[in-house]
Amino acid sequence: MNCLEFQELLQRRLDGELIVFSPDVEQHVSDCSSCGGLQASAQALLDGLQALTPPQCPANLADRLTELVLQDRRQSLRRQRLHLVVTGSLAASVVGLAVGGYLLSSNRPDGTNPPSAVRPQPGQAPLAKSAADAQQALTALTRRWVGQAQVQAKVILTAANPVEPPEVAKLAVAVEPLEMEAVAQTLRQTRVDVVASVQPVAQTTRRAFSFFVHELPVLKK
Amino acid sequence: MSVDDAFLVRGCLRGETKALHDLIERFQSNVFGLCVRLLHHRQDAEDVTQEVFLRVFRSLNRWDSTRPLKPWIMGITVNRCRTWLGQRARRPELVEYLQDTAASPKADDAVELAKEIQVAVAELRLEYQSVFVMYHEQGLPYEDIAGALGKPVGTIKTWLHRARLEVLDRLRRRGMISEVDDELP
Repeated sequence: MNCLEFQELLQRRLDGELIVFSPDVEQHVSDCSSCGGLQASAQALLDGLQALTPPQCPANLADRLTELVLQDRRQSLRRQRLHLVVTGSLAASVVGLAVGGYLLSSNRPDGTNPPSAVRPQPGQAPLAKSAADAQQALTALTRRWVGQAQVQAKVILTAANPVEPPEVAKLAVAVEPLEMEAVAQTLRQTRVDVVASVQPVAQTTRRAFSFFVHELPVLKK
Repeated sequence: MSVDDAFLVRGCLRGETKALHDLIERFQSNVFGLCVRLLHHRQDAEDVTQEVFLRVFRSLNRWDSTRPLKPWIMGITVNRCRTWLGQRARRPELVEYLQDTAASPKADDAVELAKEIQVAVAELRLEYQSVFVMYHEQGLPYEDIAGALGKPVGTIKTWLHRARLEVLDRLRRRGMISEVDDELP
């Protein structure tokens, strides 16, 4: 028996195990002053722990904590509803700004209505008609921008070749229509792609706005 | 997790007030008791107890129901106490302990010994205090304490053994031992 082994036995006794010291252990305790002191301290610790009283909870602590938790939950629910309302309003604002921006900037010289790939049918639901109107607006806006970009590209290309020697001018005349046609084709395809990608977003946003305006109970109060 | 704990948690998640109250009542003594021992201040312990239960109920829907509930709550308690201690500017006087024990006409050795143990434990580092209180005062097994503190069982045993040796050393230096063969430096 050495000091480390004795300390291990002591720890097990403090763990609550029923440890009976053998004669070897007793002999070591009487021979080793350090382990003897440790054994006496351990016994005192066990006696003191039995006398230790746990702290008493304040009166009505459970009642007060319950009310606190319920208040916290109510506040959390209010924050969630406010978040939904704000998010829906922001989404509706984005759609409104896009449509409003088109209406303010539209000023076609010929006065005709822009063509649309989707025309609302006579018996169509209001939501679908509204979505169709939004899609028409975005299509026209995109077509206008593409047209302006084409004009500007022609101006830039013309300005880039102010003086042309005869042989180069002939070549430029032969080449220019093909290049402009390729550019126009690219821009037309771009317009089609943009319209196709924006259409689902416009429809979803419109539906979300209608839902928040008409369906949320908190807004009906 | 016991069937009772699972039943209580389900009730709490459904928003039942009685389930909330019962769960708080079940664990308030453990939480408040540990807070008092670690913070050495009853008012601070009450404030931290409130924070603990608020966090428990906010996180209850994310808690793993295959794990026992008590170690999870005690782990939150230790973390909140650690944060509170880090924010506190001063430590309260140890006279706080005298208010916890009943007065007696003449010196009671056992009560005096208990006070000395509290003082000795209060001088330990936070991890040792937590393990000592949860094991000896609240009776949690090693596995639950390990789960609460997120450490292996072997580490918890080592911390507890070291905590005991430090407490024992203090008791000897304070002369709380009834039979001492030799004076120790």
